[in-house]
Amino acid sequence: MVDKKPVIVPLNDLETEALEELAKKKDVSKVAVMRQALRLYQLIENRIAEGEKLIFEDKKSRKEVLML
Amino acid sequence: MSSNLVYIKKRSTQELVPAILLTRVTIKQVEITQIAWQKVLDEAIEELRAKGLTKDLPEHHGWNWRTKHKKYGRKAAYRFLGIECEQKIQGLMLLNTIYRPSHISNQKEKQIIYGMFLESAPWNISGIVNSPKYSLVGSVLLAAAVRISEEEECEGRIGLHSLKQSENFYKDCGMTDLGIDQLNENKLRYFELTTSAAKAFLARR
Repeated sequence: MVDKKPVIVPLNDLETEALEELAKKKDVSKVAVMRQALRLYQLIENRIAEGEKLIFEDKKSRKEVLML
Repeated sequence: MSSNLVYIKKRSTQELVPAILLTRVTIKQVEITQIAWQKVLDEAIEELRAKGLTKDLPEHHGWNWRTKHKKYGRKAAYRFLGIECEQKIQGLMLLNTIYRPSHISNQKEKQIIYGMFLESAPWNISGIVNSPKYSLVGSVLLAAAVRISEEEECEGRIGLHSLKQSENFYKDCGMTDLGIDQLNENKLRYFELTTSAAKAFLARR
């Protein structure tokens, strides 16, 4: 539905491994993982810029860890 | 801006008429639409209130698409869809393509595309106007969302929280009712369209 332009992204071994693992886990292509990563990165950047925080919470202990 | 030919139904003649599916609605289009829709909605609400029919007020009457576009319009994760016919926007939909897992037990880990908002123009809604102009606007937008879900490798899966007045529409589209979401979205009912239901929905159209 929307035009897409190809981009070559050189990755090192660990990055390639991470990409392959995520693609396998989520049952999607590596392209889909890269798109998701970019969208999420932009979203987080925007919200941090607006003064929000990114926090992870441990479900059991309710302990919070500030990520960004 | 990308666009595709689709068909909606003109209620007065029951004919299918060509319309344009906009896959990147611009802020300019949204601004014009917001003004046009708001005028019709405000008049209808005033009339309903005057008649004491406050329970019939459209639940979405506070939605402001201009504000939504300002917030999400330039972000890669969000998709603004629209249907244009007779040089007017007949419906709008906002999708979120950030990873969200399915709530269906055998589909966990599988991503859904999340429908944040879907609205048909007020002149297409019975209860707001006496003679609505077009039907199938919501179905065409939902079908476009299914296509995007397929493009995004989500195999047609869609998830959304529905306003009470729209629940029957989503049920009729074949979406699975997963009950009231007690934690999110003001305790609205959550629906999902599975891959097989998405295929059936597209085939029915």
